[in-house]
Amino acid sequence: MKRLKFKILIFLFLIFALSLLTPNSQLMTCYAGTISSKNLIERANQIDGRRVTYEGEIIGAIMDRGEYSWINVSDSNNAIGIWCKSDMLKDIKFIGDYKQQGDILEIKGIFNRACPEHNGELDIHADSVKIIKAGFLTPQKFSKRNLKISAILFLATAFLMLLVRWRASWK
Amino acid sequence: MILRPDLDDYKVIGYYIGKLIVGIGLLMSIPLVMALAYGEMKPAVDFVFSMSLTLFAGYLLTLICYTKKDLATMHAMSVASISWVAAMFVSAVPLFLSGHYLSYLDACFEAMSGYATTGLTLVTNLDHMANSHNFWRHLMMFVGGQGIVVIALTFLIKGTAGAFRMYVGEAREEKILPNVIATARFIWLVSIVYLIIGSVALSISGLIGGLKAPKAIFDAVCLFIAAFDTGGFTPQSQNILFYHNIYLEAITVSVMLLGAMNFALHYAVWTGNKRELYKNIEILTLFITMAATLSIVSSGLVVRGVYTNAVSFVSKAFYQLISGHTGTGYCTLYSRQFVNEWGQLGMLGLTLAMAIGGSVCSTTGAIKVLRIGIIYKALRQDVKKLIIPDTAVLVQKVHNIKDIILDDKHVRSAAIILISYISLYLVGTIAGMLCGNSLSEASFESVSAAANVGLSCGITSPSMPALLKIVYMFQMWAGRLEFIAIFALGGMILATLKGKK
Repeated sequence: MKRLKFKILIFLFLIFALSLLTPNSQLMTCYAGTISSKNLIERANQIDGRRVTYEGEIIGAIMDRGEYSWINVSDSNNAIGIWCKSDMLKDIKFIGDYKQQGDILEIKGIFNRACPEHNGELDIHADSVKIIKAGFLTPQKFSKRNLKISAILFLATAFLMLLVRWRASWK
Repeated sequence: MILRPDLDDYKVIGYYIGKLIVGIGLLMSIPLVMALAYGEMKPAVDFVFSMSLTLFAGYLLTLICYTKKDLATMHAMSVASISWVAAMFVSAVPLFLSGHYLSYLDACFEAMSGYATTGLTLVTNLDHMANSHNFWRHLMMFVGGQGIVVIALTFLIKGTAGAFRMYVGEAREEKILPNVIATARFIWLVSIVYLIIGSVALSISGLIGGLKAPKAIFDAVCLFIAAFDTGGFTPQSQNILFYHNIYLEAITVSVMLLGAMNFALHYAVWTGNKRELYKNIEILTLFITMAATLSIVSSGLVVRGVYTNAVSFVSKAFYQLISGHTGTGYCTLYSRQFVNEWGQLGMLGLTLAMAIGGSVCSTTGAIKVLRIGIIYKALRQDVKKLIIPDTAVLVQKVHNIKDIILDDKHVRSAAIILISYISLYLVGTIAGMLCGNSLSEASFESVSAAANVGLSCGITSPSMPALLKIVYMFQMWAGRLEFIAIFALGGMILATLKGKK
């Protein structure tokens, strides 16, 4: 009987050890160092189902879907879709577009190569979203030299247009 | 004996190209107004500069080459082909000034991709691009989809025999209405009506998806333009993936299919002839080729176990296939997922779909389903001839708006274009392989460029070799114009060099 119990214990231990070795197991996965979007896409099969840490700028818009929201976070190479609780995003002030640099976020969550919940999308379901660097308004400058050249060209064009009309009036 | 063109021949070509350049210059007023409305001062200056430069060049050419002579076929074909290159050069100026392109060549690539409704892009940092510059990219697709010459016919050029020749030079053969100007205007009417309906539908789906109203409306207009004109540009770098929105995906599928339909078929349906949808050879061929290529893609994906449920499969495999077959290039995957996940068979199915394309007289590129249908019918006729008695007469009909008796002239014309496209696909594939890419990747990207699709497996990027950029630009140009105008331009150059006075 003792031997049987011992065998059962060994068997359970082996199952536990094997589950640690299974790639999709979330028990073995942890928030290791930050992973790039390039790695997420290129090594999607290996990383599928693991917990990852991803950093980048929030771009475009927050797409509020009630309790949860979608955001897109770009690390300059690619932007990755992040599915997170809407209240995780309440501190975000800057979203990247032409006029502003978005907040830089650190996302911790589970990576999916083809998320069954979201029509096969490659995404991260966030456990936490942290602002690690605040965004800012981008200063807008324009070239005065280009403006002067444009004015000269515009006048020259107007003159040419008159010349074309005058030429067209010839019989 | 080939006759060398005289000065008057060059003048008439120059005069009409000048007019078309003026048209492009006037078009820049739209993004200029948008820049002012959005308070984007630097882009506004970029557009004032580009518009002035373009109008100056256009009027100067018109003045130097002033003529009242009408266009002969050779002139019209040359105008049709050169005007696309001229439009590319002037339209690239505001893009280059935006600072989102590493070189002027990259901006030219983007402009050609826009006009040819391809959708391959070399833009950097698109997510921070000004709305006005972004809209200019999409506006180029709208103009290219309708045809630069169609615009000129509608607004700038009076109806002449030469006008129809120019229209044909832009890969449009069908006169939907008796008059070519009326046909051009009908094409615009169809596009504007669908633009309004499609933009409203996409705006609503954007709002449901959580976008705020201004962004939902701006993106909806851009997305509609690029879907209906089977272009493929989007306002954000992730393409359709940005929206995470199944409703938006469903609407874009419908718009892409509408864009891939012949304008003559639109006219037939609009005027109450709905039965045409079930009889038309293009629609029937489109469904058959879609089913065939979808089977290949599905086999590849099932073998690899890429998607585990039906919704994922439809959202990814079916969407990409419709996008590729219609020549749009909208994508719900990252470029490298084709290579890493779809594998060779999946990519082959999609490459074949891209190579076939949509209908003639639509906004799509590629070989086109009508030609595939004609060649299939001709093949079937030849096989039948072997079976039936020698004395029997066999008549083969095809139905495209009206019944047409298939003769050698139709088959020859379809076969020439088919061979030309296959050659063009090969040129890009060889160039891609010379630059170190595998056969499947090089052929995928080459077909995407030449068939004016815009799906990418990751080769097209600002860092790709300049030679490959130029090859793809040539493919986009030749593929959009369907060769005849380019052959005529080649003939004109040959006559200039070797012709006798």
